[in-house]
Amino acid sequence: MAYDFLGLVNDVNRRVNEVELTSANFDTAQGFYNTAKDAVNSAIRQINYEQFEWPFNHQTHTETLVDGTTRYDFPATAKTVDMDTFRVKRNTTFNNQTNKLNILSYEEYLERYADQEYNTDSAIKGTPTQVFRTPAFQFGIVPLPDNAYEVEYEYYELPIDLSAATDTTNIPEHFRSIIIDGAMTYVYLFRGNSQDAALMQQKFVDGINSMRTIYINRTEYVRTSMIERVSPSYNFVRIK
Amino acid sequence: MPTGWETFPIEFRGGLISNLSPLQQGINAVGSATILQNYESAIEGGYRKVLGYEKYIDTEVSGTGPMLGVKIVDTDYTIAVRQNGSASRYHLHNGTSWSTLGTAAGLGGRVKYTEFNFNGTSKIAFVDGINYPAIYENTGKTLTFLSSAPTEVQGATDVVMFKSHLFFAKGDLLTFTAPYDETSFSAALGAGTIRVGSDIVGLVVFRDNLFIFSRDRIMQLGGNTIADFAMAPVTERIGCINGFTIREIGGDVMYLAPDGFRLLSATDRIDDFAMEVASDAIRKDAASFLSSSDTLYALVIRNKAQYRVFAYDSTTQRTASKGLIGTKFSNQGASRIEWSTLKGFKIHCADSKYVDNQELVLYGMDDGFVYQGETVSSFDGEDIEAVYESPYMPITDPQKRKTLYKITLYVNPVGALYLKCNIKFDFEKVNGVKVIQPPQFLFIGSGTKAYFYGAMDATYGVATYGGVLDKVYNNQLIGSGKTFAIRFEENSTNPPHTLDAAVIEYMQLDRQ
Repeated sequence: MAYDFLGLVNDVNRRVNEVELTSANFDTAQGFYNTAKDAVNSAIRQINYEQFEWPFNHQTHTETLVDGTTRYDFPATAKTVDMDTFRVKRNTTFNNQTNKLNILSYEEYLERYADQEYNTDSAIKGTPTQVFRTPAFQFGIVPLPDNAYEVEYEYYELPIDLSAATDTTNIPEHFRSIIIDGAMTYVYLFRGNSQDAALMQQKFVDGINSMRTIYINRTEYVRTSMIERVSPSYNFVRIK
Repeated sequence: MPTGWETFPIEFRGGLISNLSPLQQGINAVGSATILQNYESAIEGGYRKVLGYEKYIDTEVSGTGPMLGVKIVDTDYTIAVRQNGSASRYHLHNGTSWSTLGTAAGLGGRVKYTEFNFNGTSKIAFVDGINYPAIYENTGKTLTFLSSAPTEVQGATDVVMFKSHLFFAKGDLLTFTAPYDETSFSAALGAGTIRVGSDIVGLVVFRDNLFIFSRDRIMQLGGNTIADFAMAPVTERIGCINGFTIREIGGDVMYLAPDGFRLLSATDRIDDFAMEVASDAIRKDAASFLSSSDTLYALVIRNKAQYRVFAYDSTTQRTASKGLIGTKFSNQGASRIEWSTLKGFKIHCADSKYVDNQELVLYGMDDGFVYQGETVSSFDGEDIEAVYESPYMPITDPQKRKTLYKITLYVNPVGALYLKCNIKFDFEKVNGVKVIQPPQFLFIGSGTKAYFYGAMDATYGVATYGGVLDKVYNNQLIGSGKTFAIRFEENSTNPPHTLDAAVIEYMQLDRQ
């Protein structure tokens, strides 16, 4: 069974002994099948709400700056943007190197650099060195760019709902059963089976916790900070 | 809160019903059918796939057009009537070949006949609506036309033997011969004529009376001779519209009235008769059947307590030709008649008779051959398409969804079985949107028997002793709905099977 919206909905159908859908009737299916579709989407949404930075939602975006423009929109699907990842890409035409941008708070921007948005003097323009987050889900560049530099940054997206039979989710297929467990919670509630719904809810939460253990609670390695004893006569430990 | 799995048994009985709303039928008549094609309500219980027909005699009866009459004489002898040029010709088959018995003066219609024996010789009188009656004499195997009979008899449309007289119907005249003499129409010897007042459609002898059917009334003739024959009305309000449909079945007389098939039944009161509409339960199907053709022919299969009526239309393919079966489960009255439909029987005339304790059923169709029915499971080698579809059954609350999990089918096959099964939910459409239905699945029986040592029919040293065929079949079901129906289809030449019962395992869900 393909790992797409149709496949996930049919997983739900099989669990409750319903007729499986096909790509031909997927769009027009009514009644319980709409509940099954909603349930799958709800489960996927719930998984995404549970953690800000699931690695499978990670995206990289390249924004081409506009000469003389300070503020730029984040992608509509962006959930969280890592401001510490902004960099200007090397460009031989503009004769600039790859350069990571320093984070600037919005307040500091207002205090020190806000005039660049109103100053028409081209002498204040230059290669970007700093980036700041605006209150309106945008980012700003300092100094005012003098060329169409490419700025690249990383963010975690908020996936959109599945709709067509062939739509796919970013959640890896290994966690297919967790999505279905979550969907079953809604399906059982629809069928008035609150007992099984509660069991499935618990299983779903356990599954998300397992995902978090695998993906989020990462420690790359552990290193002792204890240093070697310099002299046998000195019996102390220096903390770095 | 859903319950655990529960069991819903469906006993296949009740026959075809088309005078109830779909949900009413599913609630009140579980096991009945909304489609019951080429199945018959078996008197042993359940729905049995009908038997077909095969050529009884491999040689075609010479002539043209459809067979005008088929009459079983005895074990080896059969009479067939078919158009030959501009006349009806009678043919006799002696078990080996056809020979010509005689040719009428003109081309008549389908024949009616009656058997009689006035003088120790079995005879059969034929009438065809055009010609003089023909008398077949079984000893000499001869046929003679009553050419000297009065004109009131020429072109008689029906003939019966009643109280040692032959009665002929023509128009509104009922002419009877002298007692014990089929050739005498002399009033001095006891023959006579009765004018009944309206054109006679058919005659039947029932109990102690001769019943005379016209289109708008039914009369009865009592008495024994011309001296005391007396006619009395049975009803002045409703009659019979097709004389070929009048048959005695299970102690009653079935006939086609303007409002459907009726039963003329005796009641507890002397000289009182009931006339129930037997086909009320299949009002829609009967209307559809009757609209398909005016050329009908009814037949009784006694060992199955069945009344079969066939519609013949020369332009309709054999595979699409229709018929009805009424199986009578009670001795009197229409309360226990179960109906089903036939498809693939293009019957123009027929006869059935017990010969050597076996009921022989013969059909005459449009190809000049005489076919024998009730012997083979095919239409002369072609598949029989049998279909059963139940009403939509809510099981319990029609507003609550049920998930079906398993079906156990109890079926009684005679040989191989290849039964296609569909489960249908919620009348197939809700608010104009098609409901997604589960895929079809199969019940397959190879016809291979299990053998039991020591069985009553066991024979030592013979491989096939004590054989028992599989009768219970299981299958997983998928799908859910508020109502469901079962549909079985078998389109094959497999030996007949009987649908006995089905048990559905389901879980009822909560109100949504």
